[in-house]
Amino acid sequence: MFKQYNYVNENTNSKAGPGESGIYNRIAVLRAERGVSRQQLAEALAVNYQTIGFLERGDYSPSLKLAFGLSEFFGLPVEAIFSTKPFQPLSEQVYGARTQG
Amino acid sequence: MRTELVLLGKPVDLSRQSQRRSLVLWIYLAMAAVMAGLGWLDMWRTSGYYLVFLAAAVNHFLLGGYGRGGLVRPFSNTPPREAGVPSPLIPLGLYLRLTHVAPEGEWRSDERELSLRDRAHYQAYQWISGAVAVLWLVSGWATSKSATFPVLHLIAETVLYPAVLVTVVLMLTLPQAIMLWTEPDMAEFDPDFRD
Repeated sequence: MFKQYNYVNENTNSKAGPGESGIYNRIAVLRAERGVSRQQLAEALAVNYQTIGFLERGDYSPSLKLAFGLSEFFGLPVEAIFSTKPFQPLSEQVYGARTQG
Repeated sequence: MRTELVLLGKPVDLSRQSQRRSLVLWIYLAMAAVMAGLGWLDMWRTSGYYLVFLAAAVNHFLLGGYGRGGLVRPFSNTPPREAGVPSPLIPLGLYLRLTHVAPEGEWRSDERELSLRDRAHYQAYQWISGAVAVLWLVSGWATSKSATFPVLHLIAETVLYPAVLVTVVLMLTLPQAIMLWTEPDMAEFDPDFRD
């Protein structure tokens, strides 16, 4: 369980690599935040749960259709979920913006 | 790709890449042993066909790719055909049933699996088409020279037929084997994990 939590952070951590796909994503964090299982997310997007795992690990780049499906599911723009550059941790983004403002 | 087979009523977890690679190695070692045995029996003259049936059985029970059974979902991405008549192997099937009955939709490959399927076929058929070309060239050369060197005819008889058999077996099994070999570890992908 701890191992899984580690790699929930891994793909959003600026020090970690983006996996084989070369794309960073926040799927694991968003899924954990909403308490959605891989199976539930997979069913909503009509993919297999392993594909959600590979996406979270950064081993697979989704098609545009799947990326927009994820965007719709989480109610966020695509660029909030995927990036070619490492994401800042969400806490840093939120509190960093407050202190700057 | 499925992550579990049911062998003799017991589920076997194959979510780890190392386990899948071991399975592929054991399958090809077993098939090589069977091929050697059939060669010893009658130089594959009548028994060669059994190798093709063996490859089909391996696909059905272990590798998949065609029909309901095995680890790889059907390549056609269509529902597996229901058996119209009861199988004569039903008593055996009770013990050798290797996969659960697929629920509707379980057979469907998603976009990642379809791209994996296409890449595996590309890689497999690159090798297989190369092998076929070499076989064709060697057989043509051996035939043209067999009048001068009768021994070539004998060599062609001894080597070409088993080589063709191996090629046919690889055509039936290599794409699935490549998929099982290259698919990364999935052991940590718990479907019900929420955190």
